[in-house]
Amino acid sequence: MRQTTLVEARPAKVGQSRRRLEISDVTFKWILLLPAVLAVIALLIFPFLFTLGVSFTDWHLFNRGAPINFVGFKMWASVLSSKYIHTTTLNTLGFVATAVPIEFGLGLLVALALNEATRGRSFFRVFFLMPLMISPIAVVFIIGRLMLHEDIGAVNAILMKLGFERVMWLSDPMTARFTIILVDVWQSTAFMILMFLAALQSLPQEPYEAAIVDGSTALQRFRYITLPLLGPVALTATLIRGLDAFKVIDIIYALTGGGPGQATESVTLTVYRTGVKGGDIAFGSAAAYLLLILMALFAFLLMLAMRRWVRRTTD
Amino acid sequence: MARQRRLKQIVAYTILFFWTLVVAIPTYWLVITAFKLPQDINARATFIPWVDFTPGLHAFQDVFIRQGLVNSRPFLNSIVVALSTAALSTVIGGAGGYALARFPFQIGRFSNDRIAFGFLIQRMFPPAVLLIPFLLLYRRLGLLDTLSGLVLVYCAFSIPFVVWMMRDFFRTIPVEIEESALIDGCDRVGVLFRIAIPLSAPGVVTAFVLVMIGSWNEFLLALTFMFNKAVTVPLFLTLQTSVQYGTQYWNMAVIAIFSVLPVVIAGLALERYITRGLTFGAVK
Amino acid sequence: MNTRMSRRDFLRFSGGAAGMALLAACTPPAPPAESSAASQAPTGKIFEGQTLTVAGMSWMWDATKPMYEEFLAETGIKLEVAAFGQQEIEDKLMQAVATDTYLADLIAVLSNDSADVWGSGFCAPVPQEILDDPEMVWDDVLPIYREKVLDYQGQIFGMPFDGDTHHLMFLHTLLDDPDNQSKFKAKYGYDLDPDRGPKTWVEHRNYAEFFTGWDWNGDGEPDYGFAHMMKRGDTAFWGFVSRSCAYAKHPDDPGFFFDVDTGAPRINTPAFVRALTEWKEELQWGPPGMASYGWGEVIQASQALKVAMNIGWDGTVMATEASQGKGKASFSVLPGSNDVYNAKSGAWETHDQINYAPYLAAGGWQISVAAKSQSPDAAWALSKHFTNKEWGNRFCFEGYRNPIRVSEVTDIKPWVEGKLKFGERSATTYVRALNETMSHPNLVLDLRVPGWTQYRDAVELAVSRALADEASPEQSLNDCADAWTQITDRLGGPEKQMEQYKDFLGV
Repeated sequence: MRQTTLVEARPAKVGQSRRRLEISDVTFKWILLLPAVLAVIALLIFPFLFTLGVSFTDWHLFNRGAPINFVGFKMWASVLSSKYIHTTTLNTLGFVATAVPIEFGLGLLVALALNEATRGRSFFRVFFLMPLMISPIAVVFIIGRLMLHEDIGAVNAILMKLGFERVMWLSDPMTARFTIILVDVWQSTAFMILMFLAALQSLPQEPYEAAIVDGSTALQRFRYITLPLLGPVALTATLIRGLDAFKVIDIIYALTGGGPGQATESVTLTVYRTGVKGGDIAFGSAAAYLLLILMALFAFLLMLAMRRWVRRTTD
Repeated sequence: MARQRRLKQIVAYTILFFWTLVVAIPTYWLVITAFKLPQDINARATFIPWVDFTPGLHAFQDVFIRQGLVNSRPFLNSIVVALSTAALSTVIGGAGGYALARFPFQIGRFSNDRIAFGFLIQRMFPPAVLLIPFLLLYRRLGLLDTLSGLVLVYCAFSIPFVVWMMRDFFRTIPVEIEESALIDGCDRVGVLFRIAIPLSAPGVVTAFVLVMIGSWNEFLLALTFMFNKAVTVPLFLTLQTSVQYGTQYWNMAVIAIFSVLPVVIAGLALERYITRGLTFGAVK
Repeated sequence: MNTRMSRRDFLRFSGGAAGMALLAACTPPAPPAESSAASQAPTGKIFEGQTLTVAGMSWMWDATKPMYEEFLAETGIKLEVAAFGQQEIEDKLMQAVATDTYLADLIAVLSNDSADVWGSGFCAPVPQEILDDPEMVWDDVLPIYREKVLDYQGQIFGMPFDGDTHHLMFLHTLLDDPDNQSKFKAKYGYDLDPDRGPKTWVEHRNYAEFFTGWDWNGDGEPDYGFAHMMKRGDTAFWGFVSRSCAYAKHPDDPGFFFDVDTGAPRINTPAFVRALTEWKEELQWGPPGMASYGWGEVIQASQALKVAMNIGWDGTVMATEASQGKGKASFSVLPGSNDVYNAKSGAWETHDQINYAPYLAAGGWQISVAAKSQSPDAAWALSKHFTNKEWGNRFCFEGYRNPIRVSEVTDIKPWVEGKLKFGERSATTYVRALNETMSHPNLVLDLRVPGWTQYRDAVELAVSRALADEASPEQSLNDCADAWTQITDRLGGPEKQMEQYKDFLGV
């Protein structure tokens, strides 16, 4: 019945329709918000809790015909005591702790340079954004597979012409870790540039003018004005990039498959290997939760730092 | 003062040119590889067309003519998935964002800011946590290896992001315009469609493009839930590496170029929006 | 196919069809197979309008296209190829099995996978009429395949497509060379054997060392002794097992991967540790980066005459157009060893006679029809076309797949005179190596237990860690054995797993 009124309401005059519609603001606002809330509950929160539940069972997809038992913390214990997981966790932490600071530094540097540039700024800005658009798989293919190919790649060809040794980009464990970071830096520094540039361009001008009047040097102004003002953005950017870096899998899957040995395997890749491909969904679920806990810890610490920063600067 | 400024400019441009090179060289390499013959890749590295190798179109012929149909399906899949995900999540997420920007909510102890933050926090969820329940759910529903399954899971990840972004966006539009429209006798729905959406078109475009690029490039979920019929471009690219004995770099380069082209064109054309979308909330 | 239809039948059928149409409107389009078969006119194109999807490695379908195009045209079947790489086909197949999802109508299955793929009911057993079909000539299928590989717990699931054993390849032209012969004798005190190549792993090491570091192919660059498949996620499992089995397979003990009585893993016994330790040392006699070589790279290196020896499947790759080794390659069973580890007694034994333990690595790609196929009749027809004696032989002798039939390993004539033009010496030694392997009493059957990919991943991880110097061979294999124990527990315990393993071994 309501529906017919709605349809009839359309040709009516605008002034009357509001009353006729009888859709109160309360109903209206919920109609708008509800789909998003329901989507999140059904597609994120419910699965999220489901995984937690599975991690307390011994469910294995290839153990056919076996009943699914509740085993308490057994899977968690075997995840936490697994050498395999220890290595992949350390790999992931190492990746985050190396790649993100490098991207941070390079991004800040390039953003500062862009901010100084007088000509061609929009060209550089647009061009530098490009790596962010490309799929990591394509980036891996271009840089990792083609240019860094140990035998027929361009980089080794140039290095050897210059008299250096052949670099085993992918088959030496330490170098492979570095190569993964290299690929990530090429792609994700763009995000840092973007964040820092936006922040630099929205900096207030007054402190600088005052400082110049006081006879400060450019370096002093950078150290005592720019850096503190960039603080919150720097932390936000690190938070977003860091959380993404924790989830890394595509670069690794396509470039090294986690090898050589286990040198580059990330936790997400382990979850895929054991839980999805190996069918051991109980173990995979517990391992996935380990990753979530690590990420939450990381986010918590950064947010704490952010709050402290804000408090210090406002005092 | 002038000298100092000049020095600064020199340093700045050195850095900029260095980074331009860093970004440009792999791009250049991808393009020339597509024009190389197998022996110009497999035997040794070659660098400059017409100098140390003769470019040819044989890889393009191979990809488009000889294997044409095999290669077109992943692209069609990706187009369908990227566009439907972007459309769906922009509509649902945009509506949610608008509601949170314009109406007061109270769910238990959660008011607007908290609800918005609740959406934001979903961004943190590692997809790894969701692989297993979705795998079991999709098995039950028969959604594995289907495009709708992929769209659904992509929406799950992009809706929270759109809600958060669009809420911020609507808040930058002065509420007075909408209020005066209401006073003039326009109803809520009319205000939304005639005032708010046109005014927020840049935000809508931003959300749409960002979600589209994201789902075009997504890998892990496609790897997990898609097997054969519904593979998308990134998955197709990785499947190509070991399809034959020995990678056919030249063909892969052609496929990679076409996998990159649509998003790069869309991205660079709408660079302003994307920058705005990605830095939203972080930089006021 | 009954084409005569009474009026009542017709009515009933159209009523059913209307019901179907209603159903189809609500569910995703799934053309019922029966209706299309029933409504066929008896023309040649009996499967007109049916589309089959085939999943396998791309070489199975792409390269062989000319061989089945005619059949498709005749029957009206439309074929869609889902081509995967070595790394992905198994991932996708296992995921499809685990989630019971339709992947393709025809599926290429490895012997290793079959406990999961066939044991789960994912594929349909071969119907009786095909088992009785004279075109198939089942008696011609080599017993080891007919009775073991194609069979799962007493039922045949696989159509005989591709036989797979690991054997040794060596360039006999190098061993014929008198200069090499005298230098080798002077250095090692015994003769090169141009007929059989190295007979033990000790000899293999000498051969490998001898042919490394100098230019024997005349391209101006130093060449290497051998190449083996060592890449994790690719084929390292089979490469490593081949390197180990002469030490680890005791002729009196049926178990190889496990102790069949207790289910205890043997992957970390001194035999495997020794193989891995030696394998790592031997990296110096292979091309740089060999630790990341998969089977594809081994082929490429062998075809380019960069290496004097390899271990692998499919000797015909040396005779293809891409190969410079045509007519230069000979084949032999895997090298043996005088030292054999007896896992039961826990001690090394020295045998006077060389202990050979050839390896039925992977057991070949066999064609199976998915239980979920919408067009089972067409699927069985195509799989029959692929694997019957006439076409099977043609595929085989042209080098598209490896011998699985007696008729393919009795006479060298089709090998030498056929399209492949395998050299006479190559063909003779190839057929001999295959026969000796497949009829060997100490043959190692591959690992075929549920959840096998996890066992395999653990081995490949251990191998890769040891080769990359991340852990000692002993340490990495001990970790692997721990992982195996855990995997076995997760999959229902040693008893359940050993039931399957023993069934395959036939003990």
